[in-house]
Amino acid sequence: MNAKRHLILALLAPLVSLLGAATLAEPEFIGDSPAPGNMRFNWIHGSISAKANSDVRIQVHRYNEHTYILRENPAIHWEAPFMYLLFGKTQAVLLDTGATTESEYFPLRDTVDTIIARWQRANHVEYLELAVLPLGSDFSQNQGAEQFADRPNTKVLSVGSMQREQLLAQRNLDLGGRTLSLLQTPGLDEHAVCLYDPWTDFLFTGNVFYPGRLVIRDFEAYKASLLSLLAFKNDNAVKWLMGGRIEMSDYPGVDYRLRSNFRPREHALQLDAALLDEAYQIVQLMNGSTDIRIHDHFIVMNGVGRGARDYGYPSYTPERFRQVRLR
Amino acid sequence: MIKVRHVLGITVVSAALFAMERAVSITAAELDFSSPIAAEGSFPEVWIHGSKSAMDNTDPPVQVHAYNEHTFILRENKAINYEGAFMYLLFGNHKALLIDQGSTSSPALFPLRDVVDGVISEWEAKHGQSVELIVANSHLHGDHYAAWNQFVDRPNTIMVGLTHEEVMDYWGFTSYPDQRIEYDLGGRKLIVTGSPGHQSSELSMYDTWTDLLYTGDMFYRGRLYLDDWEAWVASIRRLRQLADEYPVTHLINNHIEMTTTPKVDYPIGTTWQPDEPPMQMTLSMLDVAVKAVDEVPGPGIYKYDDFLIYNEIPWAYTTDP
Repeated sequence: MNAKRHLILALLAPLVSLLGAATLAEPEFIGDSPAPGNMRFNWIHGSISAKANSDVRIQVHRYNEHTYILRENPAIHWEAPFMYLLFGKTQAVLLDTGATTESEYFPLRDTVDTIIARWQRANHVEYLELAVLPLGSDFSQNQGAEQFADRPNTKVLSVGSMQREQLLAQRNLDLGGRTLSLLQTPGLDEHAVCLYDPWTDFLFTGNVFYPGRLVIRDFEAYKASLLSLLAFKNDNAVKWLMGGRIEMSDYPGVDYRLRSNFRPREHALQLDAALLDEAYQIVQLMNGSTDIRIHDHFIVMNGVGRGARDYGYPSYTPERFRQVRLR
Repeated sequence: MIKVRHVLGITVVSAALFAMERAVSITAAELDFSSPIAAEGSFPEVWIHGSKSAMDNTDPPVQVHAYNEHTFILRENKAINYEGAFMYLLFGNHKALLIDQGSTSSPALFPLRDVVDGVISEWEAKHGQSVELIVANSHLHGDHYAAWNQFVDRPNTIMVGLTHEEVMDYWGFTSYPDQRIEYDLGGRKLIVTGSPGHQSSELSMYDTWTDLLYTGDMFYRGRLYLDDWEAWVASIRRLRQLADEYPVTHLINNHIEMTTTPKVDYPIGTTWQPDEPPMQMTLSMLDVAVKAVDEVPGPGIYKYDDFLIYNEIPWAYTTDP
């Protein structure tokens, strides 16, 4: 009787461990090609009347099981910034924290907690730390950080904090099997950093490089930052540049004006890494002069305010591409 | 025989109806708008001014404020459209004048027609008169006529129109903009004159009953976007001249874009303005504009305490750092 039971157990054991392997396997963040993911969808983009908006407050997109992209609803704040939540075996990191502090309007902490709880359950990870890392000091990157102040097992790496300084010195962030490299990229924002994820091959460029108005504050620093991003891109496989905002429309060179909270024809979030070469070329041509240079996918501005407009470009816009003039 | 009786019946019924209508209009006394002193009125302490999170806004889509019982000021909710445009509904005997129709077309998002119909039917019931509605515009820009479409099928309504020619024709201009038109809104005399500069079909109106001077988009607490500087200079002087000849209680207009801090505006697109100054302006502010006319040397942004002059600057240009 006993022997029989042992036999059954012995027969079942490999089966159980096989099943276990299928469900309990730790994610292995290795592979020559970028981890697959899905970007075939539209982001929420506000509505004609923000008051009547019925979209979710935070759109959560699961790029793949260990990589999430979040967007703040433009009807809460027109900046509608993006946030990234990346998982490793021991730690998750939240890149950027949105443009709104109040959790009743912008429940970032709840949303992140929900994603983490599901991920932990699905991946059988008992203990997971969270790092909250605003990629820069811009308003649209750090407003939600304080929602995480009292979260257990969490460090908030705000600009000026000791832990952020340590990270800057370390130059990499180990999530457990998934180590992100960090580059300091001042120019638009002196505290800006970019992160590279060798698993998805994403280069997270925050507000340093994104499909929008790149308003240079320190020309030489920005030029140097672009150069270091270029060098990094040439040494590492970069699938896409993932920025923090979208301000361009999908019409080449045409942006949505500041504070517009209905952007039905937004540019895609992800940018081709080759655009860094073009940006560097543009910045070289500007050579520090007060100028607005309009590229199909971004606008580089130096010495002018964020809402400045260039009279001269595009010199010809077909009638159907012109924005309705409201005044 | 049947046919004759039928016709007779119709005649009797219609005669009776006609008599009843006369009786109603006779019992309701005609309102007198000829008071020698300005009819009193008041502005609200604060207007609805949007909210930090626009999607969490709980204000009505249109705020209706009764300046007095025959003068209504409407404001579009800034959470629907950041322009937060003001609209005016003035009543005279058997006539009501709606100036401007806001910045949003959809009746589902911005039910202006319903709101205006509600105010009119309440007024009609109170004063025992039925009114014809005149749908007019201060000027021909999309943030002031977006809901014009909501009135096209309204009975007993005159649509002035959205072209320069229709506007000139309705008001009776033969030499725009200098001409002054005396417009009779059912016994309430309005003086209408041209005030181009911001837009080339703009009108300003003076109400002889309330002594309010309405300056539309050519003069308000905000960014005065001037397409045609020379025309604006002439318009400002024309308004000053009008104010010299008639008593003016307040200048009223279309937007609030300034903060309570002098020279500082809420940048374009702002949907939450907790520190707004009042909408109404004073004649001394008009005097500042009269003086500014000689100070502004050319295209550019010029800051004054209560307004900013955007002389030939693109409309979406901001001074954001």
